[in-house]
Amino acid sequence: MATRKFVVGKTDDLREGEGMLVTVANRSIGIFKVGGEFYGLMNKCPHLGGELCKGRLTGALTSDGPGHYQYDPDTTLIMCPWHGWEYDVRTGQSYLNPKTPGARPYQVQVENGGEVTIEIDEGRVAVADGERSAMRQVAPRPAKIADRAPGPYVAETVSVTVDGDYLVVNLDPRSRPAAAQAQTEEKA
Amino acid sequence: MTTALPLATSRQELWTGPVIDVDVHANVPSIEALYPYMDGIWVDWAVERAYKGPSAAATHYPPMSPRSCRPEWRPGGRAPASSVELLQEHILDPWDVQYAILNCYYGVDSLRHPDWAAALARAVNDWIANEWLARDPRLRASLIVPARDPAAMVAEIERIGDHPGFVQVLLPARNDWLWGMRAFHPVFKAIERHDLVAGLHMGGTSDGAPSSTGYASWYIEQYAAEWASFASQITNIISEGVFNVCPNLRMSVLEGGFLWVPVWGWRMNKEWRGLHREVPWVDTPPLDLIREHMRFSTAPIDAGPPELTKKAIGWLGSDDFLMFATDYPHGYDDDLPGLLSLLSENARGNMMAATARQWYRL
Amino acid sequence: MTETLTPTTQAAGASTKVGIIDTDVHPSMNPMKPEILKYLPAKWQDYIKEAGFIRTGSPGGERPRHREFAHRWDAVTPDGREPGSNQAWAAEQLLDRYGISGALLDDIGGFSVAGGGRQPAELSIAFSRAMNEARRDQWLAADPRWYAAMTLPYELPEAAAAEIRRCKTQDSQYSDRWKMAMFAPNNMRPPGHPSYWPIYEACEEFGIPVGFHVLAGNRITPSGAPDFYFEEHCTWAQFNFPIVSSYVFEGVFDRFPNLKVALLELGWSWAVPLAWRMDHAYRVMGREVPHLTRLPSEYIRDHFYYTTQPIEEPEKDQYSDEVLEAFTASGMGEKLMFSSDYPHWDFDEPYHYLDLPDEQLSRKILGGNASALLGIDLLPDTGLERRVG
Repeated sequence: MATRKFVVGKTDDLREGEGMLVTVANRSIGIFKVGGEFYGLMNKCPHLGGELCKGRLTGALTSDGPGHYQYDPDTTLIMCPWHGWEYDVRTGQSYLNPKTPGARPYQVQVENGGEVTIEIDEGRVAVADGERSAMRQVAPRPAKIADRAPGPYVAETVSVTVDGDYLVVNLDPRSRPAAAQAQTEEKA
Repeated sequence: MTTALPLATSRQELWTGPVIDVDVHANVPSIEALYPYMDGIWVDWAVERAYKGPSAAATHYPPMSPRSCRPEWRPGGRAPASSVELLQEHILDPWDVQYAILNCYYGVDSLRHPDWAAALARAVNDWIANEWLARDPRLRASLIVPARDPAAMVAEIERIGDHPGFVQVLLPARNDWLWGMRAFHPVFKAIERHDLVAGLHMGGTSDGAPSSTGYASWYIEQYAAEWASFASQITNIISEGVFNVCPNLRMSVLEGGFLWVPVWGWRMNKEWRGLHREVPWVDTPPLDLIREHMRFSTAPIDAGPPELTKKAIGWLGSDDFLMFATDYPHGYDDDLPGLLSLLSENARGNMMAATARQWYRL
Repeated sequence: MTETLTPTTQAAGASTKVGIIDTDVHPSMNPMKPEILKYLPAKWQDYIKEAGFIRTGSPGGERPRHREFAHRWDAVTPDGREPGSNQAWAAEQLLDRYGISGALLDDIGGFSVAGGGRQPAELSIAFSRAMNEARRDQWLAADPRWYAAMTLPYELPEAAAAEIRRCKTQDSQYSDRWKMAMFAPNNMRPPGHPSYWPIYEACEEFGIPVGFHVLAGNRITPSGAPDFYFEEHCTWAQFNFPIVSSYVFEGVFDRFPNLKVALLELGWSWAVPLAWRMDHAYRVMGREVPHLTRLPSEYIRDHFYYTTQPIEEPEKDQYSDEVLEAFTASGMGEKLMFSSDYPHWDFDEPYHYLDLPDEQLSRKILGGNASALLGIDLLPDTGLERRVG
């Protein structure tokens, strides 16, 4: 049976706050390590199609008035390299700004190590062309985005799990969490 | 026609509901008319210098241009719109207005001396209060302020802003600095504190060319391009967070037109989505801020073919966007019945009176 | 160029692809580089080393862009150099990827030169020529799909006209690759002023349009400089109003009936209500300009061209359709031209108008209108397939 799971790298390929691009079954996927966890996003911005995962990780920046800044370095937004739209790498939700109304996520899961090993040995793995984008380090704490209302788009998240030393992408749609069933709205 | 009732049509045929005219002008007939309202030193200065008054008004309204006054409103031997009797004869009575908002653009912004400019502004406001507001209960007015000294601007708002006849502070569309800059935030706070409206109006003096590309050769060329002043002020006021500092501030945009606003707002919204981190206090799409905090007068209308104009009006996204104005005595080529026919019934009543009534607390 | 749209697409029964011309592409913006400076006479190279060149900075002070080159992060070259610095990489990322027949390079780096308004006159003239020669050797020579707008010392109109003539006649191999005379929307005088008319004479002589692009070296708004790049980016769109007003009311199109003006990255939807406003002004104040022989809206309809980027993003998709319909109903359907603004961050791919219900309009916008204006052929079997039936 055709596997939907692919080893894409090793857990120590990524430090906290880093990301890398991998190609899995002809799909370009960004893998990120944030808050000690691994997350995946399809490398396509729902806004106008830019390679989202080639962007930069950043923290939320809000303000209650000119001259005041609330900068949260712990949050995990990726900014699209094209028009700069921001998405939470954990959920794919877009955020414009607190008062405004989010890429489809794939979940990172822990896998049976033996099965993964077999996949590697049998060469059925599309191991990445890993490509690291230059990203800022974030502190290893769970990220929160306070008081930010979601934007109109959701980027497609990807299931990424840890199996021993390996990172595994699961392209089976059933592996996505319930929250990720939100439709990606694509403008023509 | 907006600015003069058609010869063959009566006011009742045009519109049977109440009418509020949010932009009529009082023109200071001469600087001597203001002498009773200023201290002796300023009278002396003007007499010594043979100073006839600030030049900016003539820059924006060349006295003999048909744009500055419709032919039928030129009184023989007197300055147009220079007395309440003329206004009553030409606008207040024939239109049977419930209220009219008087704007006196005297061009004080072109006078650099900070104290003299402030004195002239005070004199104009007292002249308006005594010779206009006191003489017709239908009138309300903008107060004027000097253009460059925020402290003097605030002082004048404090001095006369609570006079029941004043409902607005006139801010000319051109200035040395964009109005949203932090130095002017105390002015907007004073406007908000006194429950006045900030009235962005045609006029003003820039230090340097009033465009990105030098001085226009022709008056019509200058006039046609004047959206540049209004658009950049509105964008700046939003970018600088004036509506964060003054969340209850109301602004009217007068004599700037309105059909350009949606396409301008779409661009602002688009840019904002990519660049908001630089102005993180702008936490609402800019075009929504415009709808929430601004209203636009209908002189000029600058309409195109009806079916296209109707679409553009749809893009405004609000029945509560427009406020009727004749902009007496200025001349336009406008079609009020045409505009009314393109609006929903709700929008018509709002435009002719209801929006202004709420906006100016009338 | 002729008014009529010359169909340069394939014969019937051949490829169904929609041919594409990109009317706004930028080589890297900083002109202070050895590969450009080397074209200057030695005395000016030495001068620049000591006295500098762009001494006046950004108007009113700087508003640092949110990215160093205001670029797409993924347009950095494979060897990590700035976007637009590598012709082959640009050709791969842009021309090859979308099957583009021709792309017009314009140099907003030259705008900080402000048309020669703030350097020694001789240096301005030499520098414009240096930029054009570098463009020729480093881009035009490398790939026939590149075309270029000439960088000009437009504040020295006679010298600018001479540079146009030099580019268009001196080197026959490239004379037809120079497609536009580049202004910036920040002239010392409005561009319709008679002092600039020698430039338009040269443009008409060679059948090339004048081009404007966002950025300003002089003054950004009528009331001074903005504080924020966000604000500046929005406010560029009001450059159009005095530009269009000047060309129309100075009677430029009466004197130069074949002259065309291209407005790049400056939007297009504003032209609809502006034309209305100008006609109204003309009805009230037209006596002032008796030299006009037509309505302002007619001049606008016939002489101005616009580019699609940054793509309109109205609040509702319905408004996108409506504003394009209003534009075409105003007679301007032949005037809108696809542009990408590669390699900048607000880059657009060519998909946006690819699938319009009116296929001919798609073909015009993506390539036909630019082909007619600029005299660039759409290459056979290139471009993108429509995605609708």
